[in-house]
Amino acid sequence: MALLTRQLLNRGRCPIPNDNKKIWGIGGFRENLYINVERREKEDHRKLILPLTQWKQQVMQTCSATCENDQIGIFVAAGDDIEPLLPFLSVIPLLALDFPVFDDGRSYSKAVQLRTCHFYLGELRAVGDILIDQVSNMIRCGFDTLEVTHSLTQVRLAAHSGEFFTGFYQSGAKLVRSGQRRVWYTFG
Amino acid sequence: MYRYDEFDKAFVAARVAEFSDQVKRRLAGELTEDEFRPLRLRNGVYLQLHAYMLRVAIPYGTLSSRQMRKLAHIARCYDRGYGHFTTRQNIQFNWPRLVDIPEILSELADVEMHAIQTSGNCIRNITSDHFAGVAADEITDPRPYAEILRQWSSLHPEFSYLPRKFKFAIIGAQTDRAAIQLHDIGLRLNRNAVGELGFSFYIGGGQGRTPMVAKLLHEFIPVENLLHYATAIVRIYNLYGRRDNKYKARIKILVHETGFGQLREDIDVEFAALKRSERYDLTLLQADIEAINAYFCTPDLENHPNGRDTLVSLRLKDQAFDCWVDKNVTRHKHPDYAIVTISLKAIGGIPGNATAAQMDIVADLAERYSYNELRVSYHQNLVLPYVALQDLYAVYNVLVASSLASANIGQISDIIACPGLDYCSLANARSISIAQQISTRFSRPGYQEKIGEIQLNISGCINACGHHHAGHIGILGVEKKGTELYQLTLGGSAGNRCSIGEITGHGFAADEIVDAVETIIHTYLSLRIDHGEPFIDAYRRIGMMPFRQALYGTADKTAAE
Amino acid sequence: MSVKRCKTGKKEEGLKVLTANRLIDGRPVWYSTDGNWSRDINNAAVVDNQQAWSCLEQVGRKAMANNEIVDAVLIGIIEHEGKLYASRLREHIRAYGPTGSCT
Repeated sequence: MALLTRQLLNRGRCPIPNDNKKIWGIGGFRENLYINVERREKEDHRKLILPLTQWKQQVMQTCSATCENDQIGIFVAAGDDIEPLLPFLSVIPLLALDFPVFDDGRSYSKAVQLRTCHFYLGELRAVGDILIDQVSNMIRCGFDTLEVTHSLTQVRLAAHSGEFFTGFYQSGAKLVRSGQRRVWYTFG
Repeated sequence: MYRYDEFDKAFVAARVAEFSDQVKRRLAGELTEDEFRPLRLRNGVYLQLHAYMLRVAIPYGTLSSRQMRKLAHIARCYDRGYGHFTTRQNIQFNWPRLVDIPEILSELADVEMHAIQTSGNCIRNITSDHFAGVAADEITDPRPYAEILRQWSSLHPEFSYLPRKFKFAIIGAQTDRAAIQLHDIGLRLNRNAVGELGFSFYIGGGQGRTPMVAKLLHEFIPVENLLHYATAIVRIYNLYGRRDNKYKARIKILVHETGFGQLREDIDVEFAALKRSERYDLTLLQADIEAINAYFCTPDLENHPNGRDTLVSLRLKDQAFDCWVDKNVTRHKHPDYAIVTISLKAIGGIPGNATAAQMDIVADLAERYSYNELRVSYHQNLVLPYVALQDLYAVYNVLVASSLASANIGQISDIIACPGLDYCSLANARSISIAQQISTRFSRPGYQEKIGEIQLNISGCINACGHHHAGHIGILGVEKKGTELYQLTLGGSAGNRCSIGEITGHGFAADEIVDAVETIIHTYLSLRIDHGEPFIDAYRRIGMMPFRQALYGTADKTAAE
Repeated sequence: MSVKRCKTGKKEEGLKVLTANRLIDGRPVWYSTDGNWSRDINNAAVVDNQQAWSCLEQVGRKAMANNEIVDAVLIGIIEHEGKLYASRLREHIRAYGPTGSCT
């Protein structure tokens, strides 16, 4: 039943090229080195992001540690399981985790799992419906970059830099941690 | 009780600033209502029938006199002079203006209060036993762990967009006064065979459309693994809880649809992975626990050995006082003290409401007689946890003067009721007017006494915020053909022997339901063994049939529908 | 486009008014005959046909886009002795306040 639900929610959701996309990370906006495609043609040597199902068909099956794999990132839909990727993490340069609507929080858990349980060292990119109010959560969950299409969010991000905590929205709000270590304060 | 350090203060201040900014952006049109809604819900701001409603968190139901005075001030200055205490130990204000809410939140932050995560699809207020720290049957005070869970869950970056709301309740006593088996996760502190402290975890309880009693998920999780296990559960829920249908999105549905055994296995796998993780170490160290524990030490209670004798003689002289002590005062772990429950269930009043003036009075009482501390109970009453026996009479007289001394705790007029159609945009029927009529109907002197211990709960819609499924008598208001109709359930219970009530048969109109309740009571009175057999025990012994017969003239379930 | 008031004293099918909540304070309001949002349902512009309903709905959408109000919706009403009453109890309570005493 859980699997069926996941498939239902994935329907129709693929990374679609969009001119207003900007890539942001700590330190500011940067060039998008990857192109979102639905499938990879032979002899395409660009850096691509493929949907997971395509990656499984086209890359995983021919997977050996060739340098071609460095070019190919994976788009992971909100309902996709990351299980099939785990053996290949060391050769996947980028994982784009989807937020189909801003209140679908599944990709936060996947990001944390990838970073803390599976020691993923590649680029974790948040894609989809991203508003300024989710940015600090995303950074704190281990995302390196955000693919932002919402114009006002782009404007707000451009005006700030540096701190990723909620103090982020308020210049100069620095938090002083108390003397004790408190494991339950998950601020990264 | 817990005091904010500079980290907590800055945390709340940043949050207030963030929400103020979001309100400004909304009013300026930079955010649409669809974008703003989850953000305002995250800050406890609902839009109801008549106005916005602000739900302020009272973590595990504990607050100081200073905080209560601030709530009175907010009721007075930004609202219509009253507040409503809820079954999740929070307080609701019914009339704030959106434009004033940032200011209200700022005032709350001054006394270390906030409205964070009191609504929205996130982890809500961690509720607990309103007698925590003072009950005679307590193993250990659960509130330090409630505080740890509160900090852990506040603005948790991974768990801010769950499929639906998520509710924890935690107790540390034999008796469950916090309804843990009606929560998404219930925790009970206990000791294992070698005396180590740990938690039993219960999963998948709830009310609403599909009421369920929680199942025991794990018998014993050592204290140091509290956060590993809690994280594992919420992570599995976040990943696999349904997001396609908001009426099937709670963890109780995930348990049901995945299968309890399978889900427990999935949680165990995640639990193991978390325990192994060095980069993300959630182990609760003894030093950290002790640091939080230090905030919850019992105050240095002075001995007052003469209080006992004074009390006895006063009770003999003043019958009303005697009755109040009998119903509203509970045994304390210290022999010279007692726990006082302040009834917010005046006969004919609105269950759970307190005026600003009453809140100030109660704050004064707490300051003078209860070491500055108050509690909010699951039953929508207030508690003074440290009252010396010798002071009970003085406290009683102040309460009488403020209409807060109804001697009805645990009686039929101690009704749990949601605000219902008078206030709530989700409701289908009024609950307050029914509660008022019922408490009036049974207010004849001696009548409640005769009936004895009984829990009557009223919800104004199927969302069951009045916990009607867990009432010994439950009333659910629905809308049928444009008019209000009230369904009766019997045999629910929120405590240790948790059960969901059974529907009697067809519903009753607004002008029939109180008579129906009285019929139930008469049936009980005529069939109980004696006064020592409370309603719920009698119901469990004799079953639904005699009640159905009395209500509908038939014991047949189908015929009664 | 002007919106006419219906004849008083008649209980008819299909009488509707447009209601919403004010953004700034959440108070219920009704779109009134003078083109403003009134706190009194008795000032509401009453409409009785599909075209007028659609027109009002558009008014609602525009006002929401303008951030004056939220949750604009058409509701059924009855006229009785010169006053307007919502057909649904819920809307009646919105118009006339919580029933019973407030504390």
